[in-house]
Amino acid sequence: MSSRPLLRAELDLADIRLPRPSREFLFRSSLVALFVLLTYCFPWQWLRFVTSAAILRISSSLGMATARVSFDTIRIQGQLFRVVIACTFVDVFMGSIPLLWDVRKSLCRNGARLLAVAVIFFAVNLVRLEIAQVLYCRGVSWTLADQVLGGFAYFAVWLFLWRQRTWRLLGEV
Amino acid sequence: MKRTPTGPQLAFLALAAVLAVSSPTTLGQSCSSKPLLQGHVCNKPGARCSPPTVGIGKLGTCTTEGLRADALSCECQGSPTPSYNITLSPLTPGYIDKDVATSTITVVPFNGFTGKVDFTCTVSGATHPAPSCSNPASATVTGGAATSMLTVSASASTAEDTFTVTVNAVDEHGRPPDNGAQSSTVSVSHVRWILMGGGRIAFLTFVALLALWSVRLLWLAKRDALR
Repeated sequence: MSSRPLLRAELDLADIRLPRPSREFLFRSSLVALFVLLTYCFPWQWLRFVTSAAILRISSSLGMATARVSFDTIRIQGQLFRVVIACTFVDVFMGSIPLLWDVRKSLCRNGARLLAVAVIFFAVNLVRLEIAQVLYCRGVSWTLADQVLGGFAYFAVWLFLWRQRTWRLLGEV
Repeated sequence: MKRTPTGPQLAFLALAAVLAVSSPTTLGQSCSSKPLLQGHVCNKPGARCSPPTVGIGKLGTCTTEGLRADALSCECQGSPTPSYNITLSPLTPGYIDKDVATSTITVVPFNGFTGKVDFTCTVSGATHPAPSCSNPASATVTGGAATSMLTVSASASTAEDTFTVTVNAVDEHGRPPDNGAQSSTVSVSHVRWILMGGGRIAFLTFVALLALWSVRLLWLAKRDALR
């Protein structure tokens, strides 16, 4: 008599199947890791220079004392800032390529889309870096101003990728 | 059928034409890779050039240039003299606080130069105190190039500025390198660096937000399934 409910419970558990990520998502995720690793194989000096130059100009226009120290280093309000690869968002952009690529569209259309995304990412990155600068100048700790804000920026990119996706996250159950 | 000259043939003809119109003086200077080095001084024909070494260690003699008696040039003559050049790699890192910057000194021998080369280093700048640099260890050339390490160190009391570090060298006979003293620059700054972008906390923040977003997505899916 007492064994029947137990048997019923075992049957219910057997019926449960957890959703699995789709093969396409796993493949694209692998490419994301590969693309990000490849990104860090190059110095991206020109992009670090352009990013630091943009921050320098924007900060200067906001009334901060600025000076260039080297191709990737700037001095703002007496503090030295070195622009590293992660600061340029190029790793985020490169990692986004496999998630943005639409296999049903042509190479040119995908290329044009990626170009537009690159411009958007560059602009978003400048905005978050400049907000970090302003917050830091107003006494907010660098961890909060740059790091936490950076985490929010990464999440915003994820939401953008999620809305733009052409792939299925989960496989057929 | 008319034959047209091929590329290599044309190149040979061009070379022959250049040799034909060259003056004997020009040919005489071909023993050096740089026949007329800038900065050489000639006072009278037959005198040694100043500085005496021309090109890859050969001695220079002042001579008249072609038919013009008033024009002197430094022509390399005689047997090659063993000599050397020194090169200095850029000081790394270019900015130091309370640490050291290093550079590699390379002695490049010419014409069979061998022996010990001693180095001295000096630091110059507009502000004081300047960073210190100990004399690099001697390098001994036995065949190929030899190297030594230059170290420049700064302390908390070192002034903030950009300094020029100059390395002089002399061999066992007191001869300096053909290319003279070499310099590199290093900057001192006591302001702390801040690296922009990325970082562990940014990644953790992203992961935390992603986890919250995933939970919300699952909750919405469950609610829709219950309806």
